[in-house]
Amino acid sequence: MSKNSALRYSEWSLKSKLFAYMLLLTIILLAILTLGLIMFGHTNTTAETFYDVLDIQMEVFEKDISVHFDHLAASAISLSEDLTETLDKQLEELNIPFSALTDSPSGLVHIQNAMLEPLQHKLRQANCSGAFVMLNATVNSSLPEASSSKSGLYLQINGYHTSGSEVLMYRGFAETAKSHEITLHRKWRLEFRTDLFPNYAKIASSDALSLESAYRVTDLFILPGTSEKALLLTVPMISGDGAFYGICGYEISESYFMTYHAQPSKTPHLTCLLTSDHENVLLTDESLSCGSSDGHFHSLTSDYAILKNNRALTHFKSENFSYLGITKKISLSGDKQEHQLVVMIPKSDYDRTLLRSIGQSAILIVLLLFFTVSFCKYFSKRFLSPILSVLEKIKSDKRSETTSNIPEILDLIEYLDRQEREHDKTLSDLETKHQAAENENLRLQTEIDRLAYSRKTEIDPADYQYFIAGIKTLTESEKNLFEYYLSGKTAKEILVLMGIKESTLKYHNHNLLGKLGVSSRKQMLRYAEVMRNQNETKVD
Amino acid sequence: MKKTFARILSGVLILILSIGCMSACSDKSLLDPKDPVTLTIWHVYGEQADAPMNLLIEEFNDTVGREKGIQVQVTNVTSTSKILAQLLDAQSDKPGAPEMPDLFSCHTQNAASLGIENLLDWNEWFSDKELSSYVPEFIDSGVIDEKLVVFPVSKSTYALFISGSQFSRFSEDTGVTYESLADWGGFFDAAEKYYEWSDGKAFCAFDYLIRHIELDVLSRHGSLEYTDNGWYDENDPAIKESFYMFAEALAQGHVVVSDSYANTQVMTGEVLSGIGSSAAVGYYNDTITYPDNTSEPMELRVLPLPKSNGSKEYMPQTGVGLCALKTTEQKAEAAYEFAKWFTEGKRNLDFVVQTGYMPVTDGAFEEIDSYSFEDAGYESLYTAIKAMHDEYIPVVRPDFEGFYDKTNALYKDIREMQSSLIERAENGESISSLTDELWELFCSID
Repeated sequence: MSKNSALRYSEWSLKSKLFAYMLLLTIILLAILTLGLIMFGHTNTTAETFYDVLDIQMEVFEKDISVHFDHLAASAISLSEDLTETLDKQLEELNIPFSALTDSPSGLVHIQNAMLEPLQHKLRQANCSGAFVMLNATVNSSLPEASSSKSGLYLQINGYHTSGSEVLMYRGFAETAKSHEITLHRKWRLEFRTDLFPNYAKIASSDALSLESAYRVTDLFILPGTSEKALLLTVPMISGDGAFYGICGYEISESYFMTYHAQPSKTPHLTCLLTSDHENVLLTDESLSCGSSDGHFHSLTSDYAILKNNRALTHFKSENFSYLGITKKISLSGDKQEHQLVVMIPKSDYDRTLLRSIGQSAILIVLLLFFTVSFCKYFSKRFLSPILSVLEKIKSDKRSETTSNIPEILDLIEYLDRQEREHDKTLSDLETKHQAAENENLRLQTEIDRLAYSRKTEIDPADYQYFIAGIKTLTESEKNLFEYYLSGKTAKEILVLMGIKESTLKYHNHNLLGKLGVSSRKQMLRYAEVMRNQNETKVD
Repeated sequence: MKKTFARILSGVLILILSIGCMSACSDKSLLDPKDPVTLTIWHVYGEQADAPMNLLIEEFNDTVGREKGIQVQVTNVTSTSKILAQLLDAQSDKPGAPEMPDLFSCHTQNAASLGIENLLDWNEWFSDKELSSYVPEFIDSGVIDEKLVVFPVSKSTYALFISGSQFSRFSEDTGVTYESLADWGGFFDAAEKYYEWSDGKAFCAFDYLIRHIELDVLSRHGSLEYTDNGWYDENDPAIKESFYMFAEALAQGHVVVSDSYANTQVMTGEVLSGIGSSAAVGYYNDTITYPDNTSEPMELRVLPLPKSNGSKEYMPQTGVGLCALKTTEQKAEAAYEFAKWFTEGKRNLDFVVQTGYMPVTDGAFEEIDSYSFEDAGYESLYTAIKAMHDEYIPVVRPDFEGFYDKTNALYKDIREMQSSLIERAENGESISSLTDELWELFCSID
């Protein structure tokens, strides 16, 4: 019963009610604030925050790649035109057709010497790690693999991280390198091998197209003799009469890509990829990667399954490592073949941030709850304490000592004073009336007592008749005892006269009074007196 | 009830704050796995590609680095001849130069140029016990002004690299064997025979010709005279005698000063062999390609330096060490952790055998004999290194100011004149007059 009343709102104390109202107000305000933030998009989940960051990063990265490859394509087309012109000029000088370059070491050296400077110039101008020109000719057609061997120049930049970069010759005549003071690459070879050249057949077959649509981005491949991945941007070299001279273009190596495309981002462990376009898998061998310019990123060491989910972030999962990120398709080749861009972060970073976010939210809620409850308690106490104090004083009859600046309390005190004065007056009237009533009561009580006494002295005729009849039933001893009493003998005298014990006397007294129907010896004597008076009257 | 609730809340808050404080205050290390420090590094191990150092750094980043909160990022792979200039450019904020790295490879004699006060003293981080496991001479070679500023991670020496496939044919025709190349006498005889056998090709290209003259003098005469200007004393007959031995072969085209590194001339079939740093092993191609596009496997064979047959034999001790830029205590701790990890016994040996260097700890050196090599060329190199380690005395190269500029100037001049010398010799000019000309060139350097 008491528990129910404690839960019943109407029976709550003022303090509890005020506290509850304040708490409710705070909760409502917070709810409105939260709703407002959600409505106006000011609250993001961790996933949304990461998505926003990566989305912006993707825009930057896409622009970066798009502009880079666009410029490189333009430069490669210009390179093709320049080298074709140089080749035509040198062939004219040598007075030989292009086909005569095959099996002509001197002719090829002559051509390479003429091409090296413009190629080197373009290499240093373009943003790339290497530049090449592969001619449709070989120095020795008698060799078993001559059909796949092509003469040409392949220059690479060594140390492009620094200002004092050096050019190395990866393919070409050693004497051409020496005459131009260029060091040979440690895995140098004299000629190209078309069977090791990525997408050679496809590129060579695009010679009928205009240069503007014939540029291609090759698949990633391992630079022969090394462990470095690279892709090539190629443009065919076509003579004025439509003859296929060869292919030229630029190389973007993995390490160059990593350096050149390092993103200006503060996102830790950011990894950006240019990769082949596969729906469900991210192949490391087909990806170039970079990180942020001031942070480390983990190079991909295995393939990743692409797990799209309902949320915006895509999950990239391998056996030992996971990333979260976003993908975007991009077309870099003249044939509109699509590649895929990926911007991602380690899933462990995401999980850590999520955990931190949950932890922070929990702490914030605990703090909010703590301070809300504390302040509600404090303010309700602060607000009610003067009122409760007045009430306490009113209860303890110290209202006269009560001072307050609160008008409502002053009004209440004045009202109570007025009420008290009226109450005192009523009380005084009542007391007067009460005194009068008490006097009347006393008088009436006296009258009642008097009447009661008067009633006691009267003899009931029926009782008297029972008395007269009783006398006749008395035993001898009882008659003697009756006579003694009538003669005014005391109990002690009767004990002696009758020679009985006191207990016997009591026994006889009891029987005597019972037979006469009286309650006391006094009533028996009064009835005997009446009887004697009646007897005397009869005698007279 | 309400008071109890408030107490619980207060308790929770205090607990949260205490845990936060404990996690922040209890760990003495400045490294934080959750917020890794990034160290940039410039190194010289594998300039053109296939840098084993990069693979090791990846391994470090994925293991100890991830565990302790250190990520090492390679921002430049260069060569010993270029790194000082690049570092000085970076240090002086030269336009276009990248930022100064936190870690970098550096010769002891070059470290002073960067300012000793700017470099971390590894002694402040490595305990005496830790340092005692390193080869004492290697530690000593990194000390400047009592500060260990160049930490040894690998050391190199010189060796004779031979194209085995070509030598087999030459040997078969002439009877010259690898044993014939055990001393300079046999070496120059073989060079002369090869010149004749190959119709005028040089037998060997030298990367650092002067050092062999210097070691020959030391071997045969026990000492070497230098001038106050930091060059060889032309009045020392021992120097002249040794110089002439090499100059005669040079003048006749039996040997040449390399274009820059001998390996490039060996892979084009221009020369049969090269003498240079043991670390050049990584730069020797596996194939020789001739100008007519024919090619053959190189079958690299590495031999110890030819002996001078003096009282003692000497071998050069070269190679850069690891310097750390003095920045923050956190980066210093990270650098220490990386250097310690990188030079641990087996790992150090795994690294040096891939790069042609000598290990820096005594323990790793002892394990060379039992090491299983995947490549015959590398195995041959380490057989040679072990032989030299047993029979030769290592000598640190001169650290006179400007010494290398002088030697490089001399090599450049010799390179420019050596083809004309051969031509003049073939045209009948006396060898002695040509060697005199070379001697004059040598003396003109001072």
